[in-house]
Amino acid sequence: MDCVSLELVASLPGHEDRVWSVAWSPRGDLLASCSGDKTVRIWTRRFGATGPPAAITGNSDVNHIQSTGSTNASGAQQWYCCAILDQCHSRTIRNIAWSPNGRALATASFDATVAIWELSGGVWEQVAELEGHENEVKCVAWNPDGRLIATCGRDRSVWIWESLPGREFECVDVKQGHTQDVKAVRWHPGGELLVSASYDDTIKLWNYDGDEWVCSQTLGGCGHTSTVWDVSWAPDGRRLASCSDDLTIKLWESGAAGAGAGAEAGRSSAVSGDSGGHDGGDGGGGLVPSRPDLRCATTLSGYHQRTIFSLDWGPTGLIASGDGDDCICVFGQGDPELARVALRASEEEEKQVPVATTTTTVSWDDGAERPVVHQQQQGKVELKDQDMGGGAGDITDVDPDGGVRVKCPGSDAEVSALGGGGKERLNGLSLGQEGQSWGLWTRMVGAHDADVNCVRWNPAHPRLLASCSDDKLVKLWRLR
Amino acid sequence: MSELINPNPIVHERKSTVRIKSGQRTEASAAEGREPIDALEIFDHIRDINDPEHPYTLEQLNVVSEEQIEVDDGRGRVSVQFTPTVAHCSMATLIGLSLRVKLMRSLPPRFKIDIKLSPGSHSSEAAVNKQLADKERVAAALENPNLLSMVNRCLTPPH
Repeated sequence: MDCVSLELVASLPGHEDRVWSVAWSPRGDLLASCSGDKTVRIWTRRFGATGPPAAITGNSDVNHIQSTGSTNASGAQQWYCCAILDQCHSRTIRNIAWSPNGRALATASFDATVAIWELSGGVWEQVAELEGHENEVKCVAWNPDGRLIATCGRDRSVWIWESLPGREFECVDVKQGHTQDVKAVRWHPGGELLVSASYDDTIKLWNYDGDEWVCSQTLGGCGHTSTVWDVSWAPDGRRLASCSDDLTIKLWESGAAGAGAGAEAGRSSAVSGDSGGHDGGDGGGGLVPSRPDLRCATTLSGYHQRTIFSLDWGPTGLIASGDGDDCICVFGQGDPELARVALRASEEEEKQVPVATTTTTVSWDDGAERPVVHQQQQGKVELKDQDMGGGAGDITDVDPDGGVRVKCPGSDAEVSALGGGGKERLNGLSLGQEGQSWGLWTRMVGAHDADVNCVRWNPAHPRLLASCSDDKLVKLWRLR
Repeated sequence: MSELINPNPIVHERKSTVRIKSGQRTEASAAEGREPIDALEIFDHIRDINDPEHPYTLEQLNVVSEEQIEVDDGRGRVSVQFTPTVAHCSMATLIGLSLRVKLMRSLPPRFKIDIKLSPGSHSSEAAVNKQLADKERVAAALENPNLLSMVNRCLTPPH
């Protein structure tokens, strides 16, 4: 028996065609999914006794989804679709990305365009369109400060767009380095490095040299032997993971970082649980953007039987992957037995949370880069990660200007942790042990009834995983 | 119309195939009360697909045959190899796409379908195979109205 396992939290029907991608909002309270049915759905949760869901969007019907949610301190949680974004793209929507402040969504479509959406007066509205790709756009990614957007597609190019005042977006560079379709782009958490993965079997790293974006390294040669479908940075930005049609996952480390590993051992372990935040001073985490010098340090093979379409390196240090064999795998570093103890402990903490002691209000003031968090504490509450438990806030009111107030029945670590400056480390649930060898920690065979197209860890509830599939479903899993 | 890629293809007879009742019903499928899907059944789905450039079926041109089909009903796997009439056939991708679409429409979704050129049968074998195996490219191709109508023409039964 596995030491850790994935437990189904919810199975969310609604899409009428295959679901290509899922993306968690930065605060982890909303999940966006996009599909061959040309729509985006936004999912959120409510709790048993709170009555009808608050309408945060008036765009579409509010679907009441029967979920298989588990019961906890604050009652049964239910996930439901709170918005449908449609009538924008004329073809499949392949990928979606949230802006770092959680106020905007970008959608990449086979119709050659990228749309930008904003929540305004409770309704998601398309506010801009990025046109330029010749044909199918396959991926879109916002850089960590929200100033840049990267897109890529079948025309073999990577585009960098700059966000200007007045919701204008200007293309600042078009990179033609790949010889075939570009499947994915992802920004380094430090923001100065972009990675792209391609049908040409290579991965390219791009950095800004003061004048234009240049390819600082190509990971080919001894790399993947078929299409690279997805890439993911470690939360601390020190390593990169990639997955491929060649049925392997590869982990890449900076040669420079590897050489100093011994001296940095203490620092490494301190960093391993960092939940995606990066301190501005050392954004590269041992990586020099102009000379990333990444080398393949580990190859995980023999675990997937068909194309690996997606992978995600979560805040706990675990890597989840999904494949064309309907299967989800979770890989970890070190001893899974230790991880199970840590998981148990965090579950116990969750049960002992005092109820109704903290009221947190989050508002997005116009002009503020990030949500402003107001927290009132009555009595002494230790702030801990609540996962899906008492800390989850219900959105109870919507300001006409688009601000959303969140009232939280329990303590509310994740809202303040992720909504705030990102400096707090309140959800530092670290499950992997850096420096140890990687292994398969759990495999969910038949996670879906068809290909698993995307897996993504929740940034605020680090044990929660979302997946989506050709079976038209979005599923939520809890690591136990 | 442009010049044909293979002006004089060899045309074969449509075989009359008789299903031999095999006693190999697996436990699982017997329990579900259904016959397992076998190579002949797959062949029946694809043998009458029209060749994109000749007024013959894929069976008549020997592009597909029962021997080039592998089925694992229990695991839900179907693998079909096809052999273009000439090694530089530019229609290979379209034929492969038609095979995939026909089987996608005919088989229960639990089946994973692999379509490949038979080894050594095409000058760009690896490239064509890679393209046919890329679900994203296949999905995009099938949203292209021109390509979809070409596929549908191949799949239209003879009148």
